[in-house]
Amino acid sequence: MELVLKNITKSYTKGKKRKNALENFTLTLTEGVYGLLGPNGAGKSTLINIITGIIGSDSGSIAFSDGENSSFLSHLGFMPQGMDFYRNFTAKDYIKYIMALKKYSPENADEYALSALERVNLRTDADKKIGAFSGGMKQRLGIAQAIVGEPKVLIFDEPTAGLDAKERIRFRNVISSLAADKIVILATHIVTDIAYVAKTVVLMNGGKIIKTGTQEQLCSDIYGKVWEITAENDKVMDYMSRMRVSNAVSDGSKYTLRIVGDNPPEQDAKAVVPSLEDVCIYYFGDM
Amino acid sequence: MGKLFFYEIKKNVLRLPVLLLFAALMLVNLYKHGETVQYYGDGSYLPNGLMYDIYGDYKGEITDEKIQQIVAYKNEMESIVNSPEFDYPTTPDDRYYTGFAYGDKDIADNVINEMKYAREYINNIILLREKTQSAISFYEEKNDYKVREAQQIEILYGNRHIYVYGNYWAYSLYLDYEFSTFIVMIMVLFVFAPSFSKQKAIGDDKIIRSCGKAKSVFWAKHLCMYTFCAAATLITALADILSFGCRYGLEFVEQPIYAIHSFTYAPLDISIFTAVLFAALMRFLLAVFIGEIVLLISSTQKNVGISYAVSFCAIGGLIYLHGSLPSHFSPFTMISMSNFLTEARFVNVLGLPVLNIIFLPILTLLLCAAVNLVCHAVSCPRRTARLAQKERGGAV
Repeated sequence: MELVLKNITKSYTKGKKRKNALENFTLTLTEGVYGLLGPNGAGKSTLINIITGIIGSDSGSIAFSDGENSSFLSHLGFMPQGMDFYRNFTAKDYIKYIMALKKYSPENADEYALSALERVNLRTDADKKIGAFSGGMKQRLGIAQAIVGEPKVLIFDEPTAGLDAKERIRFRNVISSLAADKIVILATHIVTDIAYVAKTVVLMNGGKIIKTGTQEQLCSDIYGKVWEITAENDKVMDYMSRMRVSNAVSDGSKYTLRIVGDNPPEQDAKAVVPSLEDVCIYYFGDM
Repeated sequence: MGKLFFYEIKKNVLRLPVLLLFAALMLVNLYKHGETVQYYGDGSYLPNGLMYDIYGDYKGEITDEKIQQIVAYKNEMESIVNSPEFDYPTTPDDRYYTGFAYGDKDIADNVINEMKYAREYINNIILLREKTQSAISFYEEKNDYKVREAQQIEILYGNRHIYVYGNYWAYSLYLDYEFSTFIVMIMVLFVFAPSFSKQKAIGDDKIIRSCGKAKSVFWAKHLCMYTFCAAATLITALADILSFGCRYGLEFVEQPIYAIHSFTYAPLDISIFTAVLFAALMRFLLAVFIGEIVLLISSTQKNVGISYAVSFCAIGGLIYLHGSLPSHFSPFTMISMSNFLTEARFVNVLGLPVLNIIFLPILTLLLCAAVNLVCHAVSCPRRTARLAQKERGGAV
């Protein structure tokens, strides 16, 4: 299964100027998790809004490559950013509501709703009012609604915002379990979420793809451009203002700084193995 | 659509605060019924009132025999009261309906007046028709519109009679009662101000649009609003009529509306029952008009609080405007039938006299349709529609 995004362009008028939010965006997606990374204004939200049909594009197309199911919207599950729920609904009610929206009518609707909740570990809470749910439970319910109708494409927009560490781990595990036979697009600011689950990372900026590849490929591309140095306490701010510091760890008297740049910041700087965060810092500066 | 409608009911209506507010307002309504009966009703027709027993004897078809009896009875009481030896007793006497001759004289007077109104109604109408004919002669070849208006009046007021003496207080109070409409308006505002706003605030609108169901949800929401308005109007109208009916009884509902004094010149020759339904229908129409405005405001706001505030101000503004607008241009005229169904008022529509009670509901429906169109444009942007259309062909 391949989903082909071809030459998608979208521009906005801001004042008297026209600004491209997306410019000839082209990408082919296959099963697995795609992490969409980019700073604010990179075009992630515009891309997601176009894929999900919330807004139209100026040009371009989105379709499955086999041409069998050109209507990809009917194969789409979506969890929007900052999603919340109707407090008077139970979890099961809500899943059935989404089934109605998606016109999905399995033989036993109740049983199907329970099985969808089971997949996100909410079956025992199926009859509880959502108003009594924690943030993590709501997020899992958000995933459950996205998988209703067994869509081929799942899109999650900033899904882990506001979650504690335990719930984020749980979320990542659920996403991984869903990704075997689906295309999953994960847009987030939290790089570690993508680092754990994404098979392919798409770096976006200015409405274009800056770089795409596996984490290993992206990290190897900047090998020799991530450095570690030890600095006195009073020099740290100076380094931070002049260079791209991806991490700073204090041992009390001194700091160990991780610096991203084409050249070593000091003669005694030691080249280290890049991480996905370093990749982001390298391409975007501060995100 | 059916399932979406059900979920819209669940989202908007089946909420504890909604049900509690409605219950509380209905209790206030019951209290207002008592107050209305006390201030505007005729206490003598109540079961413990002075008229009650004599009314039981004389109600129904007005016959010469009944008239002779009541006139004779009145004369008898009058002669007792006017006799020199009458000394205004203080202890009731079982021979009299009220316990006292002077009391019976007064209530007999009342019954005679009511019967007189019914018997002489035809004379009023004949007089009106004569005036109308002279108006036609006067305006002929001077003012075509006035001629047409007078001709309409001639048709409207033809062939009217009242044959029955009855107690119509329950209907009279119901047709004038306004508080129920305010309850429905408050409920419509409370229930539907968050409708689209909440959807946006929680991201549900994005899911709906990603499912290509923006239009279906829009109509489900509106259907929910129409159903709610109908149910709220029906419940309040039934509560009103039953509450007044419990006090005064619900007899002679098949009698013409002009049998009620305040509707002497009602422009429609309809039964009281039809008038009761007509009043409920007008209340419903006004509620729908309010509902359309509230939904439009909700569709433009993401913040539920702002949606409430703007809706409240908008309705307040419309009520304020009602005072300065001509009555046939303000849907709020339909709140009370005493403003609406008591006389023939015409609106000049391209030289044709159109009855206000026909013009205003049509105008309100047109306003509802216009507001609905704007709301549709806001909540179902063409962009999405275009996308869905293109998407079938594989392009975005």
